[in-house]
Amino acid sequence: MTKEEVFSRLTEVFRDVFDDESIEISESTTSADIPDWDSFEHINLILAVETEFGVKIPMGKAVTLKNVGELAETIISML
Amino acid sequence: MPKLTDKLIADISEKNPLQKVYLKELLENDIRDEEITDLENILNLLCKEHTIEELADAYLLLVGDTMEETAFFLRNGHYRYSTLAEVDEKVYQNTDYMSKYMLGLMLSGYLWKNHLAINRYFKEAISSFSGKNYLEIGPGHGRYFLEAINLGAFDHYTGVDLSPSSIELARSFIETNKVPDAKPYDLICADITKYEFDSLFDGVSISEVLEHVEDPRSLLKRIHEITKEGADVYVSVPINAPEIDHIYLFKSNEEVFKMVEEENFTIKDSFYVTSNGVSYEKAQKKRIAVNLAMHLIRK
Repeated sequence: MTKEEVFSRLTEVFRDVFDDESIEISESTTSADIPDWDSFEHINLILAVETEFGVKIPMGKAVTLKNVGELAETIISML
Repeated sequence: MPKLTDKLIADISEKNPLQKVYLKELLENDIRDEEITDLENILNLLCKEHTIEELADAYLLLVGDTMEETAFFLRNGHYRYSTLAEVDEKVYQNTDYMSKYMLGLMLSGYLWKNHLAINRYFKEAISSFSGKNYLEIGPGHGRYFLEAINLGAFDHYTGVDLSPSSIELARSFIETNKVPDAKPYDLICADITKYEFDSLFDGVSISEVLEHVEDPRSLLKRIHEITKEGADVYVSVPINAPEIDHIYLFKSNEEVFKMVEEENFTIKDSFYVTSNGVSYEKAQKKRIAVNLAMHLIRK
């Protein structure tokens, strides 16, 4: 799967989790850019990512991700 | 900001981007000056035995484990463990983990908005308690027990905890921070359900304990047995709040209200806070943690 394909599917995951169809993400997007992105929604986001991509991201790893770019790289490394 | 608090926040923020955003907002909007002073005093005490990096790691261990357990809870609809035997083997017997967990919990009392709010409610509720004998069940690190002792509204204070390390931590914390004219107190390492007390209590505090037992009703019955009629009882419990050693799942405030009333306590007052500030209805719908505290009167 290419990075573009991962970002395309990730965008849909973000829109679904945060219930906002206008969300656009980039490699540099962080929790500071999305108002509802707190610890609880981070867990929901990771669970949704796991379902979407068929991967398992340990929470210990998930909490260290600095931006969406690192999330995408983590997904790709697990595919 | 005081030196140690500043260092702690910087260390946590560097290691965890979500906490960086969360703590920035907490410091700007939520935490009060006197709470920062309290946190700095606690860090001064803890830094006699730990580095700031160790304290930051202990806090982040709690944060990471809470998220891990929350993920498990959202996937499965129940807590990971349901018996005391399981958590005793997996958690309580692991002394290294327990000591970090206790440190993390102590710090979360200042760094988590829901814990700050519940702590404020505790102070408010307990300030109206008075009488001869006061009991805290499960004083843990001793912060609430110290608060009660320093208010000085009782002639004698007793704290009972199952964990020897909690008793030692609480003793050290209280000896260092109690007011000069503090009333006498005892810290007893024992099982509250079996320990024989000399007299009945006029005031009891049991904070974040009922979710750690298999049968909270029996503990409420025990509190009823060892208190005088009309005694003030402070109870707090987390709802839908997974942690590695939580075994009894309370699903709603209403469930707790019903339980305490059926066990012969009147609810004088109550307070709740959701873990991320959403409405109670939304918290229930999304199974977001709620902290509930009550001032009860023993019938």
